Amino acid sequence: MTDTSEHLIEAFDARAARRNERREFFKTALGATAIAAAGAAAIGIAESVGAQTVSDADVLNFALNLEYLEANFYSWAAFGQGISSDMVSGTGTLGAVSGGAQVSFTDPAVRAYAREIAADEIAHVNFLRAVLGSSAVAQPAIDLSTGASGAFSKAAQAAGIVAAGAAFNPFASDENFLLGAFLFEDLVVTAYKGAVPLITSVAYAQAVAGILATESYHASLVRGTLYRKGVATPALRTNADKLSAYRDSLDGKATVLDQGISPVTPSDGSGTQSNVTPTDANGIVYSRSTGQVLNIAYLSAAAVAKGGFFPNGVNGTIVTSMNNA
Amino acid sequence: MTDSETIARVLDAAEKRRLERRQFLRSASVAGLAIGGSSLLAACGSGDKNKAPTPTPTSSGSPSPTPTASTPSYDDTDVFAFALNLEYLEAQFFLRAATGSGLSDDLTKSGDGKTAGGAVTGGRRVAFTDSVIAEYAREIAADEKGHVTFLRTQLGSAVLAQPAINIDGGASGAFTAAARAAGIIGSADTFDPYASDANFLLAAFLLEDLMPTAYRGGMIYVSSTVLREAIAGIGATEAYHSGLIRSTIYTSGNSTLIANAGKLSNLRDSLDGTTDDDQGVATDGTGASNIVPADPSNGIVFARTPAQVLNIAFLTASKATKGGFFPSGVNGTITTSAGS
Repeated sequence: MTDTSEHLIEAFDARAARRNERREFFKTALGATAIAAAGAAAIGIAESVGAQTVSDADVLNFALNLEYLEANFYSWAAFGQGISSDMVSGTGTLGAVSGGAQVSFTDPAVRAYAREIAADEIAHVNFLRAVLGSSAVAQPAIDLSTGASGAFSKAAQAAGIVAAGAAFNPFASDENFLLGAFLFEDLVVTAYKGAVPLITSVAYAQAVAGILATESYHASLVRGTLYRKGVATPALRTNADKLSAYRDSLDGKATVLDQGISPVTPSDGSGTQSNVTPTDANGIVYSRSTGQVLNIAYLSAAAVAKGGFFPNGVNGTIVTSMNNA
Repeated sequence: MTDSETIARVLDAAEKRRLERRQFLRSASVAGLAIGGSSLLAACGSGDKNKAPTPTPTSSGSPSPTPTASTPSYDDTDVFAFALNLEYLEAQFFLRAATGSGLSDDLTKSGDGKTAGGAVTGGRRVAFTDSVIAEYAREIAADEKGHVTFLRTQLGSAVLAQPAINIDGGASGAFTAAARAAGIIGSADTFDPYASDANFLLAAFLLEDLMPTAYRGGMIYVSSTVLREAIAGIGATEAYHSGLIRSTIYTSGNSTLIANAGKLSNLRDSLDGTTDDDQGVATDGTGASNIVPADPSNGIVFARTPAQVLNIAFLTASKATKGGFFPSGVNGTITTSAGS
């Protein structure tokens, strides 16, 4: 493909420019505090490709940490228990899951979705462990606790969906469960997309793309349900927007890698659109580098090796978040 | 980590389970497909030439899949050009359903400007009764237009014109042919995707589920890791779309709509070979959701080879170069559906 790489670089440059424009727009619209110069556009694809040299196993193990987190969250919410103790061992430090509870769902559809997603996430853990074999990392310590100092509450406080010092319990209601799921699902989509170019084996790349697609279905389910329920309960949309803005504030201020769900009305008169799929101007979902993913998992804009949902950090070779502080 | 060997073994086990389920589903659903579908099923022989290209481990431990006689060799351009055909189809369908007008001429002509885009037959604005579904339609339409623009930019002067597209809602429309074959209407009835919210959802379901499997299947031929990321990203967007359509059908509370989606899924599955790589939106009998069409053994969305994708786009289980939604075929180097 003679022209493709050049075109792709051009397209990504254009995309970065558009992102910056939109970022400017949102900055103004949201009245956010000063954001670093929009010219710092190069963050993104190019950086995530060249930033570090990692093996395919390193990348798959990085993903496995995220799947442990997701599988435990959904398994607790749907079934009232964490993942089986025979699927947590491996290299690194085995950790416990703190917190977690079964949700007393009121909407049968939300309960069905929770069960379906839980089964997929457990299958992802098993798949990655089977592929990695003896090099699979152990489950790290995971914080699903619901007190005011737990990771969910910290995120909800920082996003402004609960008051400072107040608790947010994602297992307390259908709505809270959906917001908790929202926090994870979009993150994992961008993590897997960002991982694709780090993988050298095309067989693994195809597998990663397949898990990416599954996570995209999950994210769509969660976002679409929040959007639909947001007709009657507008706070669901605005709270999802706030969580999105919070994620975006952690992963680097010069880039927009996240979008809320509230409807948008283009200026061309084509009519109001939902925002179930968070994409750039090309209609393509975003990528995050491993460091940016860890910013959100650790709930920190700084370069750190633990925090948030992973109080002792993740296992494997990719453990440090990006310095965006 | 002996990557290719391990993954091949894990995937082989999954493939075996899929085949077993396929056997079960075939015997369970033969009656449902009898109307108009019998010839399709009959064409689904026991041959497995359409099997997704499982990467072949090499003795050197190289992670690259080794092309074999049954695994065609395509390059990055071939895959992008192939995908563009599908995006033309999707963009025209969703844009017309959502806004009443399709892609502008400058987004359908060839890169050298010498060939105008092929004609689009049919398509019109849906008078949505549910405003949320209308908002979904407009969002998806905008994304699909973005995909057309993106792929055209990547292909540059080499971009091929839009092929002729049939998205008509009349008796000779591709949607009607699919609906008849699936048994959701009688063999002389007409299916108009633009007539109601429910019909729009079914038509969108028919097209959208195909896309994540097409992008995942196409990735195996893409050598550039950066381009793989782009392909994976478009496939992810399509998965969001597909999930939205599937969950909207599931939560509609309309049992006929849910059952019809299942029949369209069975049609797709009957067209693309003997593998079971398609699923409806609900698990029969239990009420459990099945929004993600994935292999239950690993939670991974299915892949289709380009030829299998064309089986569905052409609405034929046979080897063909045109039909269905592409009455004159697709443009590029990947043009032929699989046949047993």
